[in-house]
Amino acid sequence: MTKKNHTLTLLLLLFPGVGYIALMLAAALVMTVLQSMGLFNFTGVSQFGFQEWVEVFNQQTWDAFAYSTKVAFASSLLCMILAYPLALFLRREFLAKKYFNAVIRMPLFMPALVAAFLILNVIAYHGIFNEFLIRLGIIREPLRLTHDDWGLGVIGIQIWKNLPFQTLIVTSVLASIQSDLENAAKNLGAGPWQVFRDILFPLSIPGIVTGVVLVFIGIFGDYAINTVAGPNYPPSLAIRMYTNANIFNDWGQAACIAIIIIISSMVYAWLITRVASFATR
Amino acid sequence: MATITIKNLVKKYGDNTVVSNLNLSVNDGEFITLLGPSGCGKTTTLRAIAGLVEIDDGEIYLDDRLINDLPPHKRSTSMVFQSYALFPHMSVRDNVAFGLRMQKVPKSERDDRVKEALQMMGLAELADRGPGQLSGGQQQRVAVARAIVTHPVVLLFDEPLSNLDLKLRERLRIDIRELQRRLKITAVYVTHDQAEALVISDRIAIMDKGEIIQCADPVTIYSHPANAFTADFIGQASIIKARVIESNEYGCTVETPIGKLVSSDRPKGASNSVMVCWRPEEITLYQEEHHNRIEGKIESNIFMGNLTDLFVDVNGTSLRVQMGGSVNLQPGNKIVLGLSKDKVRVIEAEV
Repeated sequence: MTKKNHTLTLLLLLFPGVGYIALMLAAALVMTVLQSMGLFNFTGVSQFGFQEWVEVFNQQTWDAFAYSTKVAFASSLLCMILAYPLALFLRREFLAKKYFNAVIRMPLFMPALVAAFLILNVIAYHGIFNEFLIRLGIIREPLRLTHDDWGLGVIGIQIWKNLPFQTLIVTSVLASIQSDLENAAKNLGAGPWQVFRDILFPLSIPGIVTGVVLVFIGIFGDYAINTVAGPNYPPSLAIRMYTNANIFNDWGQAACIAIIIIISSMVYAWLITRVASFATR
Repeated sequence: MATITIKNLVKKYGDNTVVSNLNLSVNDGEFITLLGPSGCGKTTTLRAIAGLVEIDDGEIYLDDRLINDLPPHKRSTSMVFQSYALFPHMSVRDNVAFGLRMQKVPKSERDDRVKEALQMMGLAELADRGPGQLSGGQQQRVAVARAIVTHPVVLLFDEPLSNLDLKLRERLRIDIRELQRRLKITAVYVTHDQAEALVISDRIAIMDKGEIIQCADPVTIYSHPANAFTADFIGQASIIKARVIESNEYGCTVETPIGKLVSSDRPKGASNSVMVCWRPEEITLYQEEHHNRIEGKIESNIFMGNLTDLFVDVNGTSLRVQMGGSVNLQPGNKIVLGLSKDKVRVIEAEV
């Protein structure tokens, strides 16, 4: 077999996997970009131009962007802060650890919308939580925990949904730290807190940042949980995208917002990684 | 400076007993080696002294103080790990300074001591590097510097050289030995390498299946193994079954598959069924003063450089003989060998 032939064979062998991804990803991306430039318009005249981009940067989009950013940062950071101690706790052996693990992983097996509905029953205006507090006489009026302007309900549900995932990541990051490093630190006189502060925590940062970024991106582009428990205004970016396409039949605007979501996700991911690496230097 | 006393140490993992009723006392300033095959419980014993494994039974004393319940960070034992266990996110300097920082030694004194320790290990130029930028040998030197800088009362070594190549191993074990003598620190060293143990130790504790089966100085261990396991594990040994036919205060005569042998050793137990052993290099060509004359035929002749490995067929039993230099004998040639009676050791038969 000649060398050229050999290369061709290799390319053909790679095609079913890599080719599929490349084609589908490229096709979808290119379509979206072209749509945002006025082409492939499903509902009106297709004409190349930047009109869609001029229109998309309005107050409502900014509000949605700010809202999504706020909720994503708050949820992913809180999620990490809660997941870390949980993961540290799970390093120990204790009675019925297997069952405890199974229970805390349950949200992993629930679609976001289902999760939102489950929690909604608890924290709704007339949900169990509010009724319980009123019955106890702690509050007089029910607390607005869903559809609130701050998105507290959404943040709560996002944490509930993502905590197991983040815990799983932190657990595996901690497990990947060689146990002799911890032993060496103890041996050199480090107590439990010092072992955590000087060894476990700094060594776990890179892995944990990856987890935070993954969770962040999921929350930033969330649709399902915001429909169920989000504020009436502003919507999340994903909701705004969907509304533009399916309610206003404006696919050009939707494409612009899609691109905004993709690019912002990438920029935020980069930013989080940078800040983390700067902080640990 | 301290003594270590271990009484009836037991450690189990589930149903698996890794250390059973181990007793050991280490004198002040002594260098003792726990030697045994993997899985014999030597590392577990070492980690029990450091407090890194919880023990199921027994007592561990540092001097007269019972330290069973003392957490590892309060034990003043310093350990050198097989994996080096250097903190990858800290420079060499910070690695060495870690223990002093934990002891809250003031900064200026800390800097001086770190510098001194680095110089002692020949690492002064590497202080600002990260562990990842060092060779294995350099990393282990940093680990040793990190262990001694805190002035521990006990130094613990967990197979520190087994990841290094032979030349480096030979060099570092002498360095470690000299360092320990100079600092006069009590040291416990774990290894499965018998040559290392012979070179480095004041005393060697041979371990098998969670127990110490012989503990003595290197010369005694080599020349008077107490049992077949020790004889076989340390150096090479020819071990064969024997039956005692006569025994008195000067020695004994035994019947073996290679003929009658006289020994200046005597069976320790009452049983007539014993084993006799000697080293392959202790058999030589027969001379008048040899008490045992063994006739055989060469099976194979393997030249090894500094010595020649001969396998000799004696009445159907293959006997290993090592002679210095090269030997000009071909398979099939007859050979008359001699073994002096003080080289024939009588050990208990394996049950």
